[in-house]
Order: sequence, then structure tokens, then C-alpha cells
Amino acid sequence: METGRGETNPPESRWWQALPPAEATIQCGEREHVLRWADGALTLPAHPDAEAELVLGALGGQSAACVEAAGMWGRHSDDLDVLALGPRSAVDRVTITRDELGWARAHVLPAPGGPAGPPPGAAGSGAQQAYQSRLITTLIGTAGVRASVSPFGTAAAGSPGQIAGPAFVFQASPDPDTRRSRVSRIELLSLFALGPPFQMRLTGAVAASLDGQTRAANRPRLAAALTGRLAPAAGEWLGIDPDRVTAAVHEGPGWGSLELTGTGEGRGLRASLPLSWLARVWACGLAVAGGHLVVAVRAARWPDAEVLALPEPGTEPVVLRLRGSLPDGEAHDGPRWAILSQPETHPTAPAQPDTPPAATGTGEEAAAP
Amino acid sequence: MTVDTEAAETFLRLLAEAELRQAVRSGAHLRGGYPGSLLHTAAALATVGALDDRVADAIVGDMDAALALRHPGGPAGVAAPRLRSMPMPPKVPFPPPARPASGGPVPPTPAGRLWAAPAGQMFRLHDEDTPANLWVLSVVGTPDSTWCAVGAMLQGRARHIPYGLRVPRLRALDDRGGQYGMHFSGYSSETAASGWLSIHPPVPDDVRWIEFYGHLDTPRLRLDLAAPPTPAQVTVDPAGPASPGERLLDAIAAGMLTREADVNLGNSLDTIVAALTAAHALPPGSLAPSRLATLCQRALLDAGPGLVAALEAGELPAAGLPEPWTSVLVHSVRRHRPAAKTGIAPLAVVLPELDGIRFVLAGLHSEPDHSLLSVVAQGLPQDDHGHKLGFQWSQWFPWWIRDSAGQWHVAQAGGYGLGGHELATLHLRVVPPLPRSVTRLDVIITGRAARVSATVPVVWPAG
Repeated sequence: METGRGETNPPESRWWQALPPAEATIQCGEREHVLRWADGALTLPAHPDAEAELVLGALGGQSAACVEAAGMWGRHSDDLDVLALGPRSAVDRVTITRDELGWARAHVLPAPGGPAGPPPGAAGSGAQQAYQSRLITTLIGTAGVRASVSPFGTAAAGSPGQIAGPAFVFQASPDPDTRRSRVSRIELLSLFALGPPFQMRLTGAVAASLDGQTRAANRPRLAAALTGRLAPAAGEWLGIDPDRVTAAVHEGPGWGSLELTGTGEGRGLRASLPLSWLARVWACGLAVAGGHLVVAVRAARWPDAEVLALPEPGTEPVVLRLRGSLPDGEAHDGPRWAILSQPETHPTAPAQPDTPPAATGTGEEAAAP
Repeated sequence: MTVDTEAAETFLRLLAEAELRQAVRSGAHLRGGYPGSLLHTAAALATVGALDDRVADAIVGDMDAALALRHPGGPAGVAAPRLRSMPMPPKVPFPPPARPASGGPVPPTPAGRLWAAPAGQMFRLHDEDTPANLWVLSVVGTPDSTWCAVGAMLQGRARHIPYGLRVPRLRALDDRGGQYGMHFSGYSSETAASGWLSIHPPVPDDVRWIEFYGHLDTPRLRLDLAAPPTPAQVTVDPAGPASPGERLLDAIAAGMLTREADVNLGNSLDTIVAALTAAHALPPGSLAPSRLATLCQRALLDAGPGLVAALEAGELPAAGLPEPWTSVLVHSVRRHRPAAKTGIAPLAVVLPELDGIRFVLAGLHSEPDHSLLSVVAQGLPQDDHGHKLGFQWSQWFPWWIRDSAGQWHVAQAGGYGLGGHELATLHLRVVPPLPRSVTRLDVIITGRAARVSATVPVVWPAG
């Protein structure tokens, strides 16, 4: 197994070493081209000089769809919206089709001077209105759509009627900020449309990109991102209600801590994990392996990984050597990891005279970047 | 006590995570059901200032998008979209009001540019679409706009037209020859309409009277704009200390007493109290959660099961209900209730400024099943966050009213219309409806630091 510098303190830039390559196809002009993700980077085999094409596109030239996708990937690799909208587990399906994206792009972002698409709630069949409303609500969130309520519901002044629900006010010609927000959201969803393997990898990239200043400014968002992804994993690991799992972002040395709370059906888990757990562990599909909760990756090179993992809360982590595989037809569920060797005591873990109520980490590689 | 904004945001984001997980697990989002308490809790945290409303809105928006992206058919397959209608309360860009040095009576005369004149006169509308007896309750104005509070008894075919009252031919002129047009806004039942006539252009404040006219051969109605306002005794006293969180919980309780069908908080009450506690928006030992739990328990309201259980288990201290709550509650369960009043009553009382807002009591319109208090407000923010639920939670409401028989009523506003003007027009729903015998009302409005009480005589010229 190649471990390189990761043996002692792997840099966050190599968070992806436990992941296999992934591919997706996109329509690029008249052809279908492959987008390839490998070693933490997106490459375009059909566009060997993608960088030059990007520059040309920035200068006003026509960019190929592949090249645009690569640009989007770069722009959203530190986008916290990825954590809010993206998958919480390998089986959490985030779905949007390319047809929907195309429709929305045409209607939400009309070409300058071109006809705007019909706003939600405009004339049309009920099913069509509902479709438009759903799509636009999803795509652009708060940007440019809001409910407007008169004191008497939707009835405008001078047309008294029964109290009714709120009505959409839709900006068909968005201001520059709103337009940027819509473009950003459509770009993000375009990346999600590449499929679950890319969604997981993008999430990992975002988690690995956050510097201390960004983490400090976004503590609530990051605590939610961590909790939202630890909860299903811990629920599966312990057989507890995921809603009883809370997580805080651990800053400083060590892998963090885990503490059981409550009893019986009220049993829960309180965790403190470094944000790097999202990238190095969760995004690589390593959260739970062989009945252990993985708290840190010591070293990895697909398909092998050496991890620190807890057999149960209140114990010290053990070292596990794992091997990943991608079962045929199940690539979208992420890698499956099997234990290669019997657990070993973590060499830096102190001897434990008694089972402690909580486990507190000293894993050397889990420190936040 | 300082609210903890980071704790508030963390609470709301974790709640969103939990509700996203629950919705996907249960499939609730596939059926178009609203996922849990997030919207109410976001509104509560924004109302008490624990969370910037843009942050709250973004969290709810992300939840919308995340749910739609988790439908098997993608966003286009979501069963029914929840309209993005964040019930954000209006934000008030003014400094905290100074606490009045002492209570006592203040003259109820109009101050500044805001004036009001009572009317209580009827104009017969002969318009062929909407024959009706139009009662003008009062005229309220500033140099920017002029409004008449009106109530109408619809007649004949008017009962069958879909949008009720229309006044396409109604005009007015003043003592100096000025000409005015009219525009009605409000709502109609099958037999009555209640609302506002906007008079345009605005009536100058040195005009002594205006006359309504329709067809040239029908009687005109002259309104004396120099008429003295309704004689009212108005006092301003310091308000009792209460944190924003406690005020919000009491406002929620008042909303529940009105039993508004769309104020269905269900389990959200438990979450709201937990959120306010996490955000330090409730002082330690506050009895506000206990009052709310007691109300849910005694009124058998299907809300706040966790709060009620905590009260019954002794985890919340016992708390009695304030007298006005009990009065409204007892009335609601009484088998023989006093007959409700049908009619209209003019009012024209400009109240002292409260939290930067000046309210004008502009009239009453009562039907057997409901009573409406017409109010004009000067100083409300010019935004469109006036969602029904959020506005009920804003710092100016509820109002409490005690009638001449000693019965308490709660008055809530659903929202307001500004239409780019300075004055907002509101209808406050008065619960329970005013009884036939009422001759006087004590109207009590509690702001953040002061409480305004106005005792006003009520005369019913019609009904």
C-alpha cells in the first residue's frame, strides 16, 4: 500500500486517496464525452487542452460543455451549499435530470433580450404550473422568488375576495446579484446531475477546502453538515435513532471524542469530530466498516486503507486495515470495505484500566487542516 | 439577557437536518406534507431577534431544495411544492423606545401629520353591480394618503357577484371644489363587505368637508373632516418587563385563543420553546412556557404535547393563566353565549406613538360570527414580509380589549397593506365577537417598553 506522507500526518489535499476513480458522460456538442475524476482532480480526456479552452471561454468564446463542467467543479469545490443540499449518506439519493436542468436554465435564466419563461403560477395547465413551481423553487431557492401576501391573501387591492394562500412574485428579469445566485445554483445542480459518485467527491472536496477562518465563520453550518452525515452512520453502527446523534466540529489535535447519552430507547450519541472526517472518512464511504465507526484514516491508496476505528463508544480506537471493492452495478452506493486483518491497538493509545465513559481521540492524522 | 445568535442558528440548522432525515425516511415529502416545525421555529427565532431573517430564510430555502432533490422523480416529481412563504415578521428600523417616565392620561388629539375624523354615516350605492348601503366609519389621512374605513350591507344581486363590493362610479368633491376618485379594498361575505376606500388624490388637511356622490340625481353624503375625534381616555404606562421570547410565547397563546384555523402549531410549540431556550431568548425560570402549556392543557388544544407532559411531570413550574386568557377561554366553552352584535360603529382615535408606530382606531364592524376592528397604522415598515402568521407574532400584537360587560377579547391582525403609501390599513379580528350590549371598550396595546390604554365609547348607528 502506498502511504507516502500520509503515514504520519497526511495533508488534507490527499483526502481522496481512499477513493477509486469515477466517470460520468455528458453531452458535449454533438457527442457524449467522459468526465473523469481521479486523484482528487477532474479531467477531460476528450479535451486535452481544457485549460486553454477555459481561457478562450472566459474571453468570450464558446466553451464546450465538458470544459464548462470542469470550470463549475472548480468554482463549487469550496461551496458550502454542497453540504446543505448534497447527500448525507451513500444511499441518500439526490436526483435531478439533465432535461430538468435544461428547462430550468432556459426559463429561469432567459437570454438577454429573449423571452422569459412563464413564471410559476402563470396561465397554463395545473400540472404544468405545478411542474414549473417545483422546479424553480428547487433550483433557485430564495433568489428571486418570494411569496407576496396582501392583507386579504392573494386578492389585490380593489379585488376583494376570500382569504387565500400567498402568491408568487417572480422576477423574470433578475438583477445581477439574483442572476449570479441563480447561475450558481444551476451550476451546483448540474454537478449533482453527474451522479452520486461525483456528489460524494464534491462534498469531500468542499470539506477539505475549508480553512480556519471559513470554519470559524460557519460553525453552525458545519456542525449541521457533520451531524447530518454522522447521524445515519452512527445510527446504523449502534442501532440507535439517528435523531439522537449530535456532532460538533472538533478543533485541535486528535480525532475528537464520542460519548453515549441516555438509556434504553433514548440512547444517543454526542460526538466531536474534526471536519476532515467528512472528507477523509465519510466521502470515501468509510464511515462504518466491519462494524466499527471509522474516526480517522491513517493512510490510504485505493483499494487499501488503514484506519482508526471504534468497535463501540467508550473504547479506544483500534487500527484496521481495509480493502475496498465496487460491486458490479452498485457503484453508485460507493465502495464496500472489508477488514483485511484483525484489529490492532492504536500504538499511541494509552492503556485503559477501566472502560471510560467517553472516548477521546489522540489520532495523529485527524487534526483539522 | 443577550440572545445567542450562533446557538440559534445551530439549533435551526440541526432541526433542518433532523426534519430532512425524517421526511425522507417517512416519505412525507412525497405526499407534499409540510416537514415538521422548521418554518415556525425559523419565524420564532427571527421574531425575537435571535436570527437574522435572511439567515432563517436561507435555511428554510435550503430545506425546500434539499427535499425536492430527494424525490425519486427529481424535483419535478415532488407531490406539491410548499410555496416559499417564510413567515418572517416585519423588521422595524427604529431604536428601542424610551421608557415613559410616568404613566398618566395623555390627550388623544392627532399629532403631526396624522388626522382622523369620525363619520358613522350611510351612503346608498346605486351602482348597478353592487347596490349596497355603504357605512362610512371614519376618515383618516396624512398628506400622503387618505382612507375611509367602510362597512357595507350588500343587497340584491350584489350577494351573487364573485368579488363583492365595487365602486366604479363613486366620486367625492370638497369644500374648495377639489375632485376625488375612490377605490375599494377589503373583503366581502355574501351579505356584507368591510374594508377601505382610498381617496385619490389625498385630501389636503385644510379641507373642511368632502361629499360623496354617485349618480347625479341621488343624495350626496357630506363628511365633516373637522369633526372632533371620538372622546377617548388614553393613558401610557410602562409595560411590565418581558423578554422578546416571553412576549412571543404570550402572542402565540393569544393566537391560539382566537383558534385561527391556519395557526396550527401542533408539535412546533415544543420545538419553538426549545429553540428560544437554546438561543437564551427566555430568561431562566420564565413562566411563559408554563402558561402556554397550561393553556394547551385546559383548552384541550392539540398542540405542545411535550410542554403539557413536562407540566404534568412537574418539570415545568405551575403557572396560572392571566385574567384575559381565562376570560376568552371560558367564553369559548360556554354553552349560552351573549348574542353577538351586528352592526357598525364609527371610531376616530389617534393613539400615542408606540415602538415608533402610531395606530388609529377607525371603526368597528360586527357580524354574528365575527367582529372586526378597523385600524390605520403609520410607521409600519414598507416590506412585504407580512405573512399572516408572522405578522401575528410581530411586536405590536396581540391587542387585548375589555368590553363594558367585563368580557375580554383578543384582537389579531392578519397582515397589512401599504401599497407604497405611508399609512397601513389593518383589520383586527376580535375574538370572541363583541356582544350586542357593548357600549365601551378598553383597548390595551403593549409595546416593548410601554403600554397604551384607550377607553373609547361605542355607539352603533347601524345594526
